[in-house]
Amino acid sequence: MVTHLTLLNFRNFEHLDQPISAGFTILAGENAQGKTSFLEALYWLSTARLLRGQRDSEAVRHGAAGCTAQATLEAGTTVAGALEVGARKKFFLNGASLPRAADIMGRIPTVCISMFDLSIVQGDPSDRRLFLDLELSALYPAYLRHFAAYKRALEQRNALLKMAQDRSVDPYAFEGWEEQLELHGAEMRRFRQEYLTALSTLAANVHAEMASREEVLSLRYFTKDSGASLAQTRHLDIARGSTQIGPHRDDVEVLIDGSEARLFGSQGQQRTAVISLKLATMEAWKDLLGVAPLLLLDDMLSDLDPVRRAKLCAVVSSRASQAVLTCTEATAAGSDILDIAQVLTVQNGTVRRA
Amino acid sequence: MLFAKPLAELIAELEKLPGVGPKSAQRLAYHLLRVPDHEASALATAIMAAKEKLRFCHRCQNISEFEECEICRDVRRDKTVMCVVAEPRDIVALERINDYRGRYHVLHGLMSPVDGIGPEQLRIKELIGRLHDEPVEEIIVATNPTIEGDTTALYLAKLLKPIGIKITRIAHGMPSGGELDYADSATLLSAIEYRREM
Repeated sequence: MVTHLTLLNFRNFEHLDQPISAGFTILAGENAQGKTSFLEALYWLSTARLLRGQRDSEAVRHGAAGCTAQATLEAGTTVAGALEVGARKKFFLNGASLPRAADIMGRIPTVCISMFDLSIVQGDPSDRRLFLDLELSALYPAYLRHFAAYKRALEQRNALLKMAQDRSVDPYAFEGWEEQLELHGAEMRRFRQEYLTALSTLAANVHAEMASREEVLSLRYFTKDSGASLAQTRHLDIARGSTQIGPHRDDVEVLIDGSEARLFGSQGQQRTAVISLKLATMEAWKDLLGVAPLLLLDDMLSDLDPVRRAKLCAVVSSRASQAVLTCTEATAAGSDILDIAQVLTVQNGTVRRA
Repeated sequence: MLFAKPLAELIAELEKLPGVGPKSAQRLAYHLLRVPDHEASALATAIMAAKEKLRFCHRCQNISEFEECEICRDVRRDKTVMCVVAEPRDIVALERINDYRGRYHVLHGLMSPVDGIGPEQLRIKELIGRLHDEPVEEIIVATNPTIEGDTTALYLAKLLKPIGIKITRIAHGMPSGGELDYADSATLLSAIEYRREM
């Protein structure tokens, strides 16, 4: 649980020193005032990434030389990040600098839902892989290690494939990289499949509460591999100059009543599916950690019709323990949340109690 | 023009050195201009002398003043054990512990197709050659536990196993005297993975 957030030159905020309520916080205000920056800081401290895949330098307030963000957790633990323009970002745990930015991941378990997440249903397979990879990396350091090793070995084998187009390459050299790919790739798939199986059940439950009619949401891991080994596909891969099989080509099918939501779902169904999926990740975290992660909802209420909005608020208030929501009008949160929430008004980079 | 031409050339040369960025290169260049002539020429002479006098040991490929390096010439060294490392500086690290008494072999790099480095670019042919006239019984592969280090180790194992030599890989996990609390997750994961029975 986050109890306090301190920002210095972080996006819209020149300086912010803000206690955060143990339960629900609503950030209300016009657009471009700093609501999302507030969420962004919490997200950055929990994942070492900015939302929407922006570059880190965009965290720095316009005209400033650098920025810092610090969150205080309930046990007094501090998690901080600092970035100077032109230098590498650094993260700190209780004031001690961490060797790698990735080491900060998972210190503040966080699930963030924004319109950007629609790409999980509507986007390319790469969007869905990114979703899985980020979730699993945050949950399991072992996954992150296999993922990083796989990615590097893949670059190396692809470089070797291109080399092999012009001259003969020692087959043992191929075998070395392929063994690494098969080892780490199998582990990646094992993690992904187990996670998706758990997520599918959780998402189906949330979706059943949220959907306007009775429909079943399910998730399926999809791989095109025929079971051939990399040694067997090597000659084909040489011709194409890249590795054609493996977890880097897999996909997740999001199904509503058995058909792919990407192709056959309505806008409303797709949106509900994404929210169900993300809330299911919150439940998966809860199962693993014993406590619900921090939930960030960025501007998710305004685009929903009143019925769906009420259902979302009901699901969130019954399942989340700490949540920060942004919306233009606090009343959009509905009485389920509004009655128990701390409401803050964000205007021109300052925050005050409403 | 920002710099006089000879100064610009000096900065450009210094910038090519590993770990030296444009700022450091400028600082070093200005420093060199300020030092007395004899110091500057001592540096230049030392660089040239090192380039001219040093070569690779014909046996282990370490940097040496002689045809055969001091370690390879040392008769007290155990000829039956060979430790394979990526760089000459790794020998320096291992020699500091004063414990390993076998010989070495320097690969001069690790396999990395991305950088155009395959087995042919490494001193592997020389390693195989040594196995014909040295009584090697065990090869310890002491490359770094990175994906490139591991893959190079794997390659060597594939290549050398059929010859019937024992191949071992250095352990990785917790650093001695380290604290679990502060270890990064990759280190902890390998510490668990490579645990041993007591």
